[in-house]
Amino acid sequence: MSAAARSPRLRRRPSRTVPASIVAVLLLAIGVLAVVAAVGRLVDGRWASQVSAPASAVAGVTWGSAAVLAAAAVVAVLGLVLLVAALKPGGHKAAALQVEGAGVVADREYVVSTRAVARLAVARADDVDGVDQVSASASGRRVHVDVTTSSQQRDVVRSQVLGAVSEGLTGLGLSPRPRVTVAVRTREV
Amino acid sequence: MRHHAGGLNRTWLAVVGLVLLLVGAAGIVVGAGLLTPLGRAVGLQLTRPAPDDKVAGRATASAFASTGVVTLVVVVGVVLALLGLAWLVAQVPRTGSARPLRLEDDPARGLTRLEAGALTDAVEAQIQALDGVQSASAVLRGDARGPDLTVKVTAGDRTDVRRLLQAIEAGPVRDLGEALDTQVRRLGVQVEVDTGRRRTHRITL
Repeated sequence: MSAAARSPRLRRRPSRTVPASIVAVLLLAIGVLAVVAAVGRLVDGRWASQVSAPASAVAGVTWGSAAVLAAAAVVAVLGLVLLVAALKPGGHKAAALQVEGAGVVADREYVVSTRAVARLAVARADDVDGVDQVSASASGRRVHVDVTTSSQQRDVVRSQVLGAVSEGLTGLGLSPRPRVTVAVRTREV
Repeated sequence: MRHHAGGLNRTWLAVVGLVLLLVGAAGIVVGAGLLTPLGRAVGLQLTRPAPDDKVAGRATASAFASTGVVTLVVVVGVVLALLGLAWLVAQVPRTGSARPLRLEDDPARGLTRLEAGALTDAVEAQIQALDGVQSASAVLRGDARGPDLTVKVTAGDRTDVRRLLQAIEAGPVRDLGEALDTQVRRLGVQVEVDTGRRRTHRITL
């Protein structure tokens, strides 16, 4: 069986599609412009003015000029950014679930997206009495819930939301279990 | 669910990033007049280019006037454009689903070809019939002896996800294995949660 026939892991690191697409488009553009300019030179016998004018301007600059130093610094920083994008693993967009199977498969992988975890946390928090508005964000190891309440018993609301969300996520079977934090803001009535 | 070019992207981003970093660092070293002292420090006599030299002198200008160099520019441009295009095309996620499954060992006695889509349609329909499921999509990879099923299921925020996963494995996945007369080699399930129907399942008194 070919490698392409195997399923990719569902819990994976970011594939850096955005920077890769940008660099690919730039490479394509540079290549096409170089070909168009060079073919024009071969056909007409001279470089087009759109090429020769900027080339002459660049050629007249000395190595020690501020423009060259600035351009070199920009290129170096761009290179550093691309290197960091390539080497930094990045966070997972999904969390693993530990669920007992029915024994009909040899290997299983269950995941839930971090966006889904946040939505489940919002749903559990929204069930708590006294919660007016709720939003949540989740990463692989942490779930943070922001609650707005008009109740005067702010600490009670916080502890009830924390309990409800923690219980809901424990029942989900997340592995590792994320740390739940709750921030409560009181709304003046 | 789909194959992404993560490894390819990271490899080429590292290569391009390293090249840009080295070019930029070289420009800074030359422009700041550090080339000669740095060369001396490593035992080399590096005096050119000096900070007051022009970026491109007469030699460079005459080189770009020759047909050979212009032809080289065309070749390099074509290579860069093709590399960029290939890299761009690689960004399109690939499903890589199974080719039609052959369900007979001995082709001389006849061969049954089964489209993977027919099986995944059945799996999707069964999963969508489960309690709490809003939508489902499935991809079958591998072959008839070692099927590899990946499912993306969207559930409501009131759904018991553990029970749903057990039901998927005990129902549609078991049926898939029985239909192919083999054990499913690998099952992957990605759970999403949709709150879109939440309000329709709630009564406010």
